[in-house]
Amino acid sequence: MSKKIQIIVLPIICLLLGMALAGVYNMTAPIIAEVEKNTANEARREVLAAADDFTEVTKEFSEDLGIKECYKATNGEGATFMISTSGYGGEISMMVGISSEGKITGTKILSHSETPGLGAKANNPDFLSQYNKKGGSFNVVKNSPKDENDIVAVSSATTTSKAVTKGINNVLTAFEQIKGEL
Amino acid sequence: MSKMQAFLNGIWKENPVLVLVLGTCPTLALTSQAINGIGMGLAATFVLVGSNVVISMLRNIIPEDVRLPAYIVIIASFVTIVQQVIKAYSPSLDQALGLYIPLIVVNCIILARAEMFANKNGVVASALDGLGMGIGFTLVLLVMGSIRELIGAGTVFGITITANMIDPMTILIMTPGGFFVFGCLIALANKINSRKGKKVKTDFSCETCPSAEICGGGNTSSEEAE
Repeated sequence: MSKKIQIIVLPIICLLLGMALAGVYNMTAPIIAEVEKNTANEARREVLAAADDFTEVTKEFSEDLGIKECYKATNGEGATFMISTSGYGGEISMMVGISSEGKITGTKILSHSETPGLGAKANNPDFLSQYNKKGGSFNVVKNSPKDENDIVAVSSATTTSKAVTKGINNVLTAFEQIKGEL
Repeated sequence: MSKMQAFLNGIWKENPVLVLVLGTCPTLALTSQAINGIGMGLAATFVLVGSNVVISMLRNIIPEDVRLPAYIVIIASFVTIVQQVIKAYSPSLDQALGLYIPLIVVNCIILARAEMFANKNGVVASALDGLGMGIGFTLVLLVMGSIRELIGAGTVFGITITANMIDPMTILIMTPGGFFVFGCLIALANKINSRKGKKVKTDFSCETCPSAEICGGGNTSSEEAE
């Protein structure tokens, strides 16, 4: 085989394989998008169990609220917010569900860099369930809660507890801005 | 060798993991659960058969000098196809195997079989060789995964067997346990083969590796150092 023909063999192989890959990609891309949407909706349903399906809310929230995304339930049951706040060791990313009446339905911490054994204990149903079924605004207290909206901090982890509370308060603020759309 | 021999070769006599000692990375990493082993084995088998067939079809066309890039491009395309299909139709398998699916591209078994068999033999023989090697690989992953999962977690395929009766030895589902079980299986395979009178590989230096032609047998670096 002459040198000239030899040179084009590899490019031709790459071209044919590229076309085959483009074909497979086109066939599987819509299915993969559907799978990813379902996985994300599963995560949202964890904090807002009454919802059936979600649609994106495209409102621009102010930067300092830290809202990353907002989805509302198609059956009007409420909305979910993905929000990030500054914790003790770095960014805390949370998914918060809120009912159409403005009461928190669930909180899930998606990622954090808090201290294991201290701040990390905030990622615990015992702590996070304190926010459920309440609205308005939350304060953090160290031990005895006097008011319904007092959140008992994780012991020796006040900074983390305050960060999570601030995030949830931000969600409540943001909710006020979109509750008309639900 | 006959077609049937080419097929059976990969299952025991020249088992890629226990005899040729290739593809050890996914073997150690994905055998903490039996189900992961099967998933990886089947994905690798598909890539092996596909790439063997294509490389065998093109063996007279691909010039000697560019054969490695050509093989790698072909293998990588098959792996990408497998990855897209798994992502679309089995997200849980995608989650379990994670980074190891794209790593099939650099799985030594596939490149070694391309270099040692597919570029010298016909399409049907290459396909059978790929199938045999893939099945051999899958069987080892299955056996090793079952042993590690049974002793290390008390379950097999998620079904609890001894977990409630005996305390599981979790070290077996961690890395040191993996090496230990792997070594035991290679020793067992060698014992069985030496009893049958077959020559057993005792020299594991670079020169005797099946991939010696591809990576230079380890000689290149030592010559340059001198």
